[in-house]
Amino acid sequence: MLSCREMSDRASDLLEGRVRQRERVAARMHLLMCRLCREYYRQLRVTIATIRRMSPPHVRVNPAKIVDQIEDASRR
Amino acid sequence: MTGDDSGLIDRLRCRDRSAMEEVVRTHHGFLIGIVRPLVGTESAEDVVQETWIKAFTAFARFEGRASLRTWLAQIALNTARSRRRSRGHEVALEEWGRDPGSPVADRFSPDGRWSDPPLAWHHSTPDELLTEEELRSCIEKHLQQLPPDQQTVLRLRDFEDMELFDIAEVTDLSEGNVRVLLHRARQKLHAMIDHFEKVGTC
Repeated sequence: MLSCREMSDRASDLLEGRVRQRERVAARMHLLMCRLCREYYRQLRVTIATIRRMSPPHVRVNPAKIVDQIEDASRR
Repeated sequence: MTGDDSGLIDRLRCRDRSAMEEVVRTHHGFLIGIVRPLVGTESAEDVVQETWIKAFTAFARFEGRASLRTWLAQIALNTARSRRRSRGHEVALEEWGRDPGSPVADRFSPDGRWSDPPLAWHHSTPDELLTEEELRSCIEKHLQQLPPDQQTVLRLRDFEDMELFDIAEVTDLSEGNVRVLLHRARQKLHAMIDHFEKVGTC
């Protein structure tokens, strides 16, 4: 039987299907019986979805200028 | 090689101006985002500039086993790491890939059960969480404070949706290592949101 601590360590792998079947079954059993781990998994799933929803920081890009600089540097 | 990239690569090999601009437009911001945790905002432009120079001379050798984006990411991260090394950050680089341990380790009793169990959140969906302006900027702040390795892995996975196998390749870490770092980064951001849900401030 997996402990709650072990369950917390495996959460990302389990949520994204990266565990072997035997371990997946054991983890599902644990979640069925353990309300606290269910809550942690629910929160972690929301956390991951929230991160994924955030857009990466915006970077202003001027491709023509950058290519000019690359060409200059390559000629040197 | 992906179909999208192959025609473009041929034009890049001939140093076709519009192809060069296209590839810069598509990937520059992404490359800045992944080197910034390693070298800081001021040096990021410089490192990516060096990345482009290396890439444009190396396109002839690009074999297309990885996607163009993955290949560029690898050059960029190697460049960023050697920049760090030359600046005497060796000590910090030894930390690259090290598992700092679970951020929730102290919430369990010695027998592995919850001693400080998770309490339900007021916000139960990403939409609800992200409408809180303060929480959104708090997440951004904490994301930038993650160790460089965790930040890079999290960005590549959760912003770019890159496969773990490719992330391992570009970060020069094992896939197992990448899995652990990804999970630690997410656990830290979870702990931050959890704190916000309990206290109401960042």
